[in-house]
Amino acid sequence: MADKPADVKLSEKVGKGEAIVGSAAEYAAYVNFGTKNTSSQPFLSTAGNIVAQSLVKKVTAAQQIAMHNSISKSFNKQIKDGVEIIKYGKPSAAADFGNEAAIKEAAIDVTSRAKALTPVDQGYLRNSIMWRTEKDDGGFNK
Amino acid sequence: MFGSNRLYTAINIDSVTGLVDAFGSGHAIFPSTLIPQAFTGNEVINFYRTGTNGFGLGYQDYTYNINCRSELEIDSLIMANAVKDAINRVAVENGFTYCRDILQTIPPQDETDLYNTPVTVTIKTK
Repeated sequence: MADKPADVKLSEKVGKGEAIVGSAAEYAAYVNFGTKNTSSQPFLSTAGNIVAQSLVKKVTAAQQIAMHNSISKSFNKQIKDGVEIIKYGKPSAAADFGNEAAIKEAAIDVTSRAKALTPVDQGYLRNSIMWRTEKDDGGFNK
Repeated sequence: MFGSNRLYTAINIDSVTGLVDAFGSGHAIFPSTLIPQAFTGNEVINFYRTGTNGFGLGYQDYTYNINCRSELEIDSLIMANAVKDAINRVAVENGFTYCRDILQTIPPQDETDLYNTPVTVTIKTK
């Protein structure tokens, strides 16, 4: 076992638009799913299910905000050769930005809920729960 | 409660019960987080609820983990696949069930433990 959770980070690679939440504690799966002799204490499964129901709303809201910001920041009118041209922002970039923000928010949400649900003995398991997106990670206590 | 009866009925069929040990007058399928100490076999299923949502929308989603435990990894996978076939897109009382995932097989924690392949299922009901 590592000295502290920060010494062991999630090794999974994360792609664009993806996030993972997990624990680096080697016994996390045995706590979450139980064994033949011990009871299941599904702290990660439950946290994931709670957040999953609001994920679509999170993504939609973040995309709308990003789209609104994109339009309002770069909206301008130009008259070229007598024709009025209206320039908006980049909808695809706004959608990507919104996705990234929503996925990150959901990952942090799952992590915090899982930490709240984790059975605590010495605190190693709770401290080891962390999240990672393509560009960022966090959750562990250093 | 909350769909356990419906799920138990859905998986208590020959294709699944043929893969688990006998227990008492029935089979080793336990709707609980803990396998009874009285059970001493090696092929067992236990399932429990991990989430409930949708009450405000006029329907309910009950999400369950089904742990398919066996002494051999391959038997654990075969059991998980049989469970998936038994519950995926199947009509139950006032609703239907669908399989969300068959997760990675978890190796035994010690010599007394078993391989475990968790299956995630959602029961959608009125």
